[in-house]
Amino acid sequence: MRSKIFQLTTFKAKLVSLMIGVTFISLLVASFGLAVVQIKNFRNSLEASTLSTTAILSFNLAPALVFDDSDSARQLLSSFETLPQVTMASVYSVDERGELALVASYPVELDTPVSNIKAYLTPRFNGQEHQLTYPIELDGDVIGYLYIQSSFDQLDAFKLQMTEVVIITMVLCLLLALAISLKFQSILLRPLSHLVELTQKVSDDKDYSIRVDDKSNDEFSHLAQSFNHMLEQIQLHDRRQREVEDEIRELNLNLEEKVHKRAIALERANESLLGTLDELHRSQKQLVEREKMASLGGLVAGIAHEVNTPIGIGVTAASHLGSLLSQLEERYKTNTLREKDLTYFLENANEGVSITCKNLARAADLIKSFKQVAVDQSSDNVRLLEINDYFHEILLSLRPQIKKVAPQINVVCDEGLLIRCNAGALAQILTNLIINSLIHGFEGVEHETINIVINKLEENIRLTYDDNGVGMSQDALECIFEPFYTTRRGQGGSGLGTHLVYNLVTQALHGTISATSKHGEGLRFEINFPEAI
Amino acid sequence: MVGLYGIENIKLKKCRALWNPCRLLIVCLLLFSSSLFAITSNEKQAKLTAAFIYQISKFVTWPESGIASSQDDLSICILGKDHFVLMQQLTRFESKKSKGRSIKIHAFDSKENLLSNQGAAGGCQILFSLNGEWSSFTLEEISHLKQSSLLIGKTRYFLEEGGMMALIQAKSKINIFVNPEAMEGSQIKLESRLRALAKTFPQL
Repeated sequence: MRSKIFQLTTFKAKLVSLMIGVTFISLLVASFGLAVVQIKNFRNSLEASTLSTTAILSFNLAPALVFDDSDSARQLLSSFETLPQVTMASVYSVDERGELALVASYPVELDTPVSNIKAYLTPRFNGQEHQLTYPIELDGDVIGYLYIQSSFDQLDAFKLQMTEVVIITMVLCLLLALAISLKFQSILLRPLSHLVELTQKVSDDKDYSIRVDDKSNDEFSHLAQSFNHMLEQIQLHDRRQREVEDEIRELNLNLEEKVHKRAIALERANESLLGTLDELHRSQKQLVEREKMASLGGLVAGIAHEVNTPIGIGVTAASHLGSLLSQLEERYKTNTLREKDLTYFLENANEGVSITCKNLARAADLIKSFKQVAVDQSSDNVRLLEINDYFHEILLSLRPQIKKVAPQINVVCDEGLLIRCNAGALAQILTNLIINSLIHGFEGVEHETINIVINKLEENIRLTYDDNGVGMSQDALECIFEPFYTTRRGQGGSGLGTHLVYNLVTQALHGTISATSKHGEGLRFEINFPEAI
Repeated sequence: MVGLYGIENIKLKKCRALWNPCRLLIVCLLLFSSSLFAITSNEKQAKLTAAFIYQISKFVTWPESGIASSQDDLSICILGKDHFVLMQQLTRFESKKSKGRSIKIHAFDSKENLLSNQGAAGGCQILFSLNGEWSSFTLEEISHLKQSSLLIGKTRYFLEEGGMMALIQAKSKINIFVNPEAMEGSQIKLESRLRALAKTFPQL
């Protein structure tokens, strides 16, 4: 209860508190100001009364001083009995030498004069004690001084009295203000209470058709009008909301059916998409396989071309040897064989056999190399290989493709560096990179150069491949490993070369690949893969 | 003085037996000292009286007809044959002023001298009468004089005979007495503060 009063939760309490507070502060300020002025005036009047009495008495004391009549002076001083604040008074005469002599004093005779009374020609206050010296003049000459000592105890009494009056007045006024505020707050707050009750009713019953009485002509009538307007708006809004809710409810019912139909359609579309995706994967796989076969086909074509020459020479040499042998046989049968002929035959036969053997050996070497590369490319075998030799074998197998452009290919690799990896994948990576440079990179470039550097870094192999070709833009570089991305669409580019390289590096070699390039500054691949799988 | 003479006679009788010239010398010294004391006392009284007269002038207002202007001198007149000592003391105040007026002292031996020369002396604003001369004035003369002159004496008799104020010595002190009846017929006004101090004659 107590806390409720101090919290001032109700408007009524706030109104009463405001009135009491304002009244209290106003009264306090007014009373304090009035009291200060009254006390100051009272003090000034006391001082003025003392001063005027002193002035009159000084005037009347002049004859007593000049005629040296101390009895008269004493009698005059006794008039201070009418001023209770005067506690002591003494009168002094000035002799011919200017020295002061005590003539009379009040209320008792002083044994010794008060010292330095001239200091009080300007009145002094020492607490409630007031000291004053007034000159006694006659015909323009100062003939003596009247010294007055007063105690303004009445001032304290007056202050106390003023305080009592102020307190009583304030209490009465506050009580009056409380009574008035209690009386008027019920009148003032009646419309507000009615409004509050109505608001509560609207809140409880949700009945927005109720209206407040706005017949009065004060601020509350404006509030009531505004409130009624607000109720109208709420009522309208409520009606609209109900209509909308009905519509939504109806729509919801239809929506479920629609959603079901859509879900079925979506499921079908999804199945179709999954089928398409499978088809795509299959197509991609087929394309990759086709690419591999194409690569293998190229390899076979290269092998055929390379092997064709030594075999052809061998065949030519063998057929020439056969022709010589036929001539020799004919001459032997006809007994026309001469020593000279036999010598000629033997010389040519030896040369033909030598040529044949040499070219067959050459063909055998080529086939051996191609066989290894072809085997590697058609299988996923992991084997130990000497990388420098293996790269040269790959380059040898690519000679037919390289012949057309004839770039300078520099391979820098440590001699005898052995690695254990998927050799076919490595061969296919290098083949694809070189073919990629030949197809896309060297158009309009002179002195085509490809640098291949293989390093061993702890347990990893770093293969750096770069050419001095036309390079790629940044946008194209970002798509370089995406499948079917090609800058030669319709010109033989499948868009799977670099994608195949990426897959082989990451899946067959378990490594990483990155490409960097700037337009006109060539293309660079960096491949890192473990030394042994 | 009588008492003193008695004591001295006893001493002289004792001394006569011892040394006659010594007695003669003592008598001479005593006579000289008594006369010296009398002179000193008379002069002191005159000095006090002169001061009183001067100070009284500061509390008195004369009719405008009695003084030509406020710048005129204030004439203090002494009436009496033995006025020499008082004249001498009053003359000392001629260097001072009373209510802005210079002070002039005049002395007259007799009533006739006063009446005949008063006009030449510029009128007397204060007339101080020594003993013996006042009894010769008639009531008409006194009534005429007190119109513009403050008549001051030094005895009760002076007041009884129409004097306005008297400075009567009591022991070593001078008391101021005022005769209200005499003041009533005069245009001279005494300030109330002086009247409060002065005693009224005849005393109630």
